[in-house]
Amino acid sequence: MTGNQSDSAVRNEKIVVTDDWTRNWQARIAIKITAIFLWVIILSGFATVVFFTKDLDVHIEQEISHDLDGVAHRVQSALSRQGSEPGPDSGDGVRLLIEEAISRNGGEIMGHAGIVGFRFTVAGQSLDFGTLRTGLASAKRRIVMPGGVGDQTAELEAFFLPAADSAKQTRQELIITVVVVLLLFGMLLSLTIQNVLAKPLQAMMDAIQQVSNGDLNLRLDVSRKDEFGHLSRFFNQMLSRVQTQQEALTEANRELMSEIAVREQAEQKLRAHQDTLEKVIEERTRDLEVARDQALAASQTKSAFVANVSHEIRTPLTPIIGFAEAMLHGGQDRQEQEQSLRTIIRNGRHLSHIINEILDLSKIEANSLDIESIAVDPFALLSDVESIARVLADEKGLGFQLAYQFPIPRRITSDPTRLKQILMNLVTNAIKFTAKGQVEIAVQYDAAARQLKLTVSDTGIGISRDKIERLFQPFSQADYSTTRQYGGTGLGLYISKRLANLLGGDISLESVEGLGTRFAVRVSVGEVDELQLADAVPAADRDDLVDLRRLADIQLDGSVLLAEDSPDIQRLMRYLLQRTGARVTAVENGERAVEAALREDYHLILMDMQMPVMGGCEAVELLRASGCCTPIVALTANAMKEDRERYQAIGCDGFLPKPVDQAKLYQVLGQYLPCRGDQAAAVDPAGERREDTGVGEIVAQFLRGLDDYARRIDAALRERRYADAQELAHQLKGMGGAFGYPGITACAAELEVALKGGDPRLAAAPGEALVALLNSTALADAVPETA
Amino acid sequence: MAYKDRILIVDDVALMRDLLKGVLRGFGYANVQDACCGEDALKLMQRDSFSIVMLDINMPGISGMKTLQKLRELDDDVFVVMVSAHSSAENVKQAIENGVDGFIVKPYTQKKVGEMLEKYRRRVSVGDVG
Repeated sequence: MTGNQSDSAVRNEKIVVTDDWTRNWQARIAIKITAIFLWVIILSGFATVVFFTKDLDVHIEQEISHDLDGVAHRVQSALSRQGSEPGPDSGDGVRLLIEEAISRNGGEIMGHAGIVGFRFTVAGQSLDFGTLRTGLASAKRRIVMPGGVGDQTAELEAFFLPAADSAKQTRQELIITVVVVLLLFGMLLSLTIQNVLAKPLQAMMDAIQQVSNGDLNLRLDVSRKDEFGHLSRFFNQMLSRVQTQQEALTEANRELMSEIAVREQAEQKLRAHQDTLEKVIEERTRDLEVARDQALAASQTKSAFVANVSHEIRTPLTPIIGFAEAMLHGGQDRQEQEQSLRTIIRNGRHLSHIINEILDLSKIEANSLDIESIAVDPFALLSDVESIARVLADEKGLGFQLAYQFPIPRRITSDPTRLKQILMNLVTNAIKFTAKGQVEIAVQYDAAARQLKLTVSDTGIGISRDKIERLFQPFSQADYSTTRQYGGTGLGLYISKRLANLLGGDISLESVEGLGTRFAVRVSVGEVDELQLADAVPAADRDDLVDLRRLADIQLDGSVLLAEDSPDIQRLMRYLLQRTGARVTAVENGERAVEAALREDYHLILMDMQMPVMGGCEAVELLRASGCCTPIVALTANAMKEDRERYQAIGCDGFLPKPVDQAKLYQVLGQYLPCRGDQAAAVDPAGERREDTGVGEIVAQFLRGLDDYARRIDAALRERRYADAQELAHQLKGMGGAFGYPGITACAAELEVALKGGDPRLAAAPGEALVALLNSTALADAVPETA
Repeated sequence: MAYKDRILIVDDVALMRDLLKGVLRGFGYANVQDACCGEDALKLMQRDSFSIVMLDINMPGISGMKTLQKLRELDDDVFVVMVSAHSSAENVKQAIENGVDGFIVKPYTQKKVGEMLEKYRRRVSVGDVG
């Protein structure tokens, strides 16, 4: 745009200059040259006139005189001839003679330079010829008349204009002639100059003007051979060059323009980018500021959280440690001991509860809380809640009621654990904050919203309006004095609300201070079959529910391998397992677990995943790789979903979270271990041989060979061939159990160990024992087996 | 149920070989050969092909572990079970690193042998499908 404007401006300026040229006529060379020539011609014409008319008077007088002489002579001659031969009338005759003499040139008197008339005077008589008037000059000649007495004398007088007048007339004529000739010549000259000079010049000027107006395609005529021809040629050449340069210039200009356009575009883009960048930077800065503020706020919240948590954790720890130490020091009677133990258990459970809540909170905040979506029997779930809540309410002397408003779906889709957690939290809260009166759970199905509405109401202390808002924030019971009075982390309601959100609902709250509180929980029920709506509490089908009391009485049979490095937990687990009647082998790391699991047949392996020497994962992998198919249940505090998936992938069959929940433990045990008295399932793995006919003969063969082994071992020991004895013991160790005689294996192993120890004296006793056992076994079993 | 799979038992104690033979027969595997040492086992392996090798570790001559290594060089596919009283986790680990498919600790129960055979059949059937 800018380039085009400047281009046209230059062109306009040129045109202005050209216009000045054409308007100024003085600048026309042709006119100037013509004028100069005309001046020269006029001057030379003037000079010529002057030159020619300089002696004109004298010349005219001489000519007139000469003419008069000629006329006088001719008149004399004519009169002379007349005189000798006289005519009829002498007077008339003379006139005729004279007329003839003066008008030889065509009968006119005129023809003589400047002479206008003649007068012939004879004897007083005069004859006039031509036009005689006054003011004329005259000259006279004497003529001799023949025939007369004494010859008569006559006069011939010529009249003419005075010489000056005549010269003036001649001069005028000459000037007119010269002027006319000059004018003609001037015109011719002008035309010639026009042709020779002005025209090509004009053409050239027009061309230049045109060129200056921008028409470079124009070319001048070069047919002329003169300077104009050359000039035109040069001009054309120049024009070509200019044109080439102009084209180059135009091209360069165009390139420049396009480059400028590109640059401008780039610049524009750059500016746009810069703007965007600035905006982005601003945004980022703002975001960062927000994030920083959030982080700071979060950090402050977390600091407060950590402070609160450590306080909450220390609180129950104090009585736990204190009472445990008191018991250790002794001096308490049985009742006091029981009291101390109960305090320890209660505080331990509270601690566990706090830690669970904190874990839940951290999972919720990290968005990593897994929510199941499975079929749930709402009646069974509420019945569970009721059974616990009723006990708690009874303890405080409160009434408890579970009220259904039918119809209620028999099956809903939800997460039973989390739903129960919400309800338990609300119900225990209600009981906690209620001194007298009752706690009620009302159940209602909202078919339109596809939600189950569970209302937990109490007749407790209530919550003031201004504190309701803070209630669902983490760590904010109505105030800290409440925390001190009633205990708890202040996390429960926050977690419950978030859980309700995750279950497709929410929790709302109405409260009147001093009168009571009503929490309403809504959870999504998923797809509900309308035909499956119950109008009354269905007959309880409790087989699938875990009954703690029943579980405690569970009687199981079978063997469990427990791999657990913590002696305390090992002891606890051993106690819990043995209480069911199960046989327990406990090992302290993965290596021992692998060895034991390969050596013995267990119904179940309980494997702690974090152990020294060899961890649970490696042990499970080794066991599965070596062909062991004993069920393995992982014991771990890593309760994350991905951990469970990993354990499953390496070959674990189940998963028990730590701290171990008794109910769950017994459920798992019931799943893998046979019940006592259930003979078909409880067959000792080693006893299978009796059902297998194919092996009987081999066993008999083994038994028949036992006394041979006894002899060889005895001999080797006595002859101090300890290496042989060790080899024999090793073989027996391998065979005994396999043939159904673990006693032989144990005894042989004892001998092998003793011999390996390098002190033969120590081998004496086990050697004797083994020989005795072999002999007795051979005697006792050989006969009936072979029979 | 009778299976045609060829099994090779490698053990230096004749009684152990016979016992295992009996157990295998009980599970329907009658096509069983035996060798008393690693060298013999490898010679047999070069001559015949086997589906399963039951290998003791503690043997005179080359050990079971060494035999396993050489055997794997010959045959990558054969199902090898270590049968040994040396049940230390270190041994198990080494055997697995050398490419064993199962580990039976002496004294074994028939159940263990049965489980191992089942594992073998599962692998074969998976292999057939694949």
